Amino acid sequence: MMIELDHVTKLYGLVLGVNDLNVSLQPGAYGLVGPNGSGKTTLLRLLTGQLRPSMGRVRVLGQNPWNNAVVFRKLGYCPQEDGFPAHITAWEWIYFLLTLAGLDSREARRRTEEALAMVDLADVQHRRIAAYSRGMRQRVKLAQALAHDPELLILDEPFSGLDPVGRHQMIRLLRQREQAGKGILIATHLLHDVEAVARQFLLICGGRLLASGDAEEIFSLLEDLPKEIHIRTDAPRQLARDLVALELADSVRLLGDDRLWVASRNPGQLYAQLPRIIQQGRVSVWEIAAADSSLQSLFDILLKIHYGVQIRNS
Amino acid sequence: MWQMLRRIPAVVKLEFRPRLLLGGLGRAAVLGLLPVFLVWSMQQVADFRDSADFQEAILLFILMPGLLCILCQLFWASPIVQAGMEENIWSVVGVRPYGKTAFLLGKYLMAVCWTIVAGWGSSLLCAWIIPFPNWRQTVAVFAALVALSAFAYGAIFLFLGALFIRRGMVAAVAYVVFIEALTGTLPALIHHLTVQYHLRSLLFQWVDLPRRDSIQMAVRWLQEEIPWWAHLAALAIYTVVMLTLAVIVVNRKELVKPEEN
Repeated sequence: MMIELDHVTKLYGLVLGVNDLNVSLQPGAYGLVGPNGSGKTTLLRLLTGQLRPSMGRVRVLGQNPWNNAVVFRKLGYCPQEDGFPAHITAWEWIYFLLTLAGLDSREARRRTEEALAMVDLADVQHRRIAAYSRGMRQRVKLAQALAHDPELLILDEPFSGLDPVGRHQMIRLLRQREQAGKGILIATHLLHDVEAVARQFLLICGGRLLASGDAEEIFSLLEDLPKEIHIRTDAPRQLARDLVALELADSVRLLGDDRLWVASRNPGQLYAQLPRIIQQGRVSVWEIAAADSSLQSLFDILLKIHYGVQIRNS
Repeated sequence: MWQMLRRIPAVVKLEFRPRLLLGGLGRAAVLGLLPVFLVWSMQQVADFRDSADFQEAILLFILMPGLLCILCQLFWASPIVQAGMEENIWSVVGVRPYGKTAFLLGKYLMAVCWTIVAGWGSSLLCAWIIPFPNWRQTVAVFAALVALSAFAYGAIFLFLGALFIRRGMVAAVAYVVFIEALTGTLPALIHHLTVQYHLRSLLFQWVDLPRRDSIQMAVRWLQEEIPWWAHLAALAIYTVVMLTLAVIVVNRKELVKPEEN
């Protein structure tokens, strides 16, 4: 098992960091998705042995990660925040971390150059980190996590600050690692980033695990849930009446004079019937915007369920 | 243990990178010149050439292993853990095998190193201003006392900095005032527990200058007949115990920025 969490809770005084997490992850690529403050970073710090759980048990690669040199040898961690002295160069920093990890000087040199080339920083490797852009500093963090070729890579918001080209390069790099059988856990609040790398997802909010599984399993949760549709029209009240009368809407809400929000369990039928309603001449529809079928919509709905908000009653 | 020790040179080597080396030398020079300036300004008032004896050695002792080493280690050893947290260094080195311990001890060694550089340079300049009759021997004694002081105070301040992360420097200042300065001068056995007592005893045993015996007689209650090696052993034990405690504390603490918690 790559990661095992057994009723893990982390308290900061009276504040809950993560709450009763139970997860078992086989080797593979996983996306840990949640809004800011949802407990992602706390969970990653528990997994990397920087924090101890207040309750429960954490196992990474079969062992407790707290001060565990055996786990640290197999672990690569890219923290969310910058963590390097600004006055040294990227080369010096990566080389230092490799020698600190126990590599001899020659091997550390070789791997430093490889890692910096991997993240496309070879040309500027002898420039001070203080002079780097945000995206370049992000690449340094990724390079230090990758340099010792870890078995498990734990990345906290790894794409933040990267330009589209850098993002694409990193995604390609992470895919290669995933195909090579290495474990990856990526924490992010941007779903489209992680969708390109991870096969499995863990959705976290308020320190609790909302859902987990592959994309299909997670989307299957949506089957019985109403879909949200935004409609711009000249007569939102009339359109709302028509949709409810035809039993095409489970819930409607007026958003100003020209906008209507609809929750429907059967959006396909709604789209099919809408032209007929328009043809009757009582309403004009200018724009229809449906919530897309990406993970973002799923995440929004699961969050609402978690917070106890029933869409049909809203 | 060996696995951890062999990682310490990596930290020292990082600190010896040219840019950091220049910064360290600059700071050591500024701090080292402080006692030199004090001695020079005193020399303007009283001409040391006529009266360089054990009294001047005591002055140098107060300034070098006392003031200078304490100041240097206050600035360099006590904030090591806190600075690592401010810069988020622990979140990176803390997930390397033995990274926390190696980083802590490597930084400590660098703090000691810069303190010794400042102390030795300063001692040489001060001995040039105060021409002691046997200045080579006097400078050699002060070099040894500076080194012992740097190791011992560095270890104590490192421990205090690890224990009271955000108030490490305050705790170190409180230690100096209440333990070293006050307790160290009490005519009671408790002063044996201070670093000052052992350094001062070594000064009296090692420095051979006029008026030593008369001064020693005057403060006899402070200078018991304990062999020099016992003082060295006491300082070494202090250093090792404090370093061990600092390592234990750092390895038990969650070194994450409090505001992020």
